[in-house]
Amino acid sequence: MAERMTSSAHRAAGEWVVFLCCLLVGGTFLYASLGKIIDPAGFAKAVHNYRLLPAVLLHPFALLLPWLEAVVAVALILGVARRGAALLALAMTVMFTVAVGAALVRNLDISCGCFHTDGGQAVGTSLLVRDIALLLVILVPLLSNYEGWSLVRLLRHRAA
Amino acid sequence: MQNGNSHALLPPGSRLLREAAFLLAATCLLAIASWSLRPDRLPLQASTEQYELDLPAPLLDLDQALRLYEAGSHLFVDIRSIDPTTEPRIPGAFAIRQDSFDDDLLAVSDFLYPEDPLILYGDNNLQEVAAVASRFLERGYEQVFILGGGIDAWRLAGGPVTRGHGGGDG
Repeated sequence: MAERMTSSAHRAAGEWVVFLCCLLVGGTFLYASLGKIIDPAGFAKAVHNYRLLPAVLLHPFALLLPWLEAVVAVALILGVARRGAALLALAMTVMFTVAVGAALVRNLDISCGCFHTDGGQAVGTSLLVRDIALLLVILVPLLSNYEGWSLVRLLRHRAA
Repeated sequence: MQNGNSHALLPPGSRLLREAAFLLAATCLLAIASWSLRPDRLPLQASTEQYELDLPAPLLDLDQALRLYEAGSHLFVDIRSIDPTTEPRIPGAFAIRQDSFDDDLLAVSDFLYPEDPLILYGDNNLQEVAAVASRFLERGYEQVFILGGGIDAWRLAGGPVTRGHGGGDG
């Protein structure tokens, strides 16, 4: 009986931790996506400044990535295809981390383009640390055994 | 509720990839829909000129510019120092030249507001148009675009032109 209660408490805690991580990552991605969806030209310029993508990929990338961020964010927050969303969030964050790292190595004095297409945070070590921290948070919903609380799950629970 | 009892570190790979593929497909649909609906949509092919010259404003190709002209949603600005009685210009375009920018802008300040979307054109000297675009941006104009190819390309593409005083009527 005591074991079952402990297990139940662990499970509840696990579900909440996953939910909060999804909320944090989803909120970050949603906020990051809005400015870029509104101003794809500005985002394309920010991406160009990293000097990583060939010209032929620049605009398709600038048009697709913000929407991917938004879709992943909503999926994480609502709990729809959550692990798939976490996988995509991980892939994007790894890409951002590599891009920032490459910019630092090449000493590029550029804006991140993460949240604002015009100005915004400069590429620096703190940005790299932030991206790595985000990577670790994303691993929680991706690798956890728990599904995590979500609106979708709440509706399913009420319907059952 | 059955989740949370699995001992596997990751759910079956196929489900994970299916979910990711579903989200990617939704992303593509939303991106295409959003791109199609915008009148000032970003061209799919990046202009190397725009980025190599580090233009302060996005470059519009002729198709886009013609569409925006027909929609009447954007105001055209002629940055050339020309004789309007002899040289062709886009009907309705405001003449705001680099050398007399402040005076010219003041003269049309009752008609041209910072929130108005502008398309600047010249004789295909991008440096000159870029300089004027920068000045507009400094003055708080937020939606400034540059017509790629200038007036000559506009005419070759069949865009309407007018000669003489007045705004013309397209």
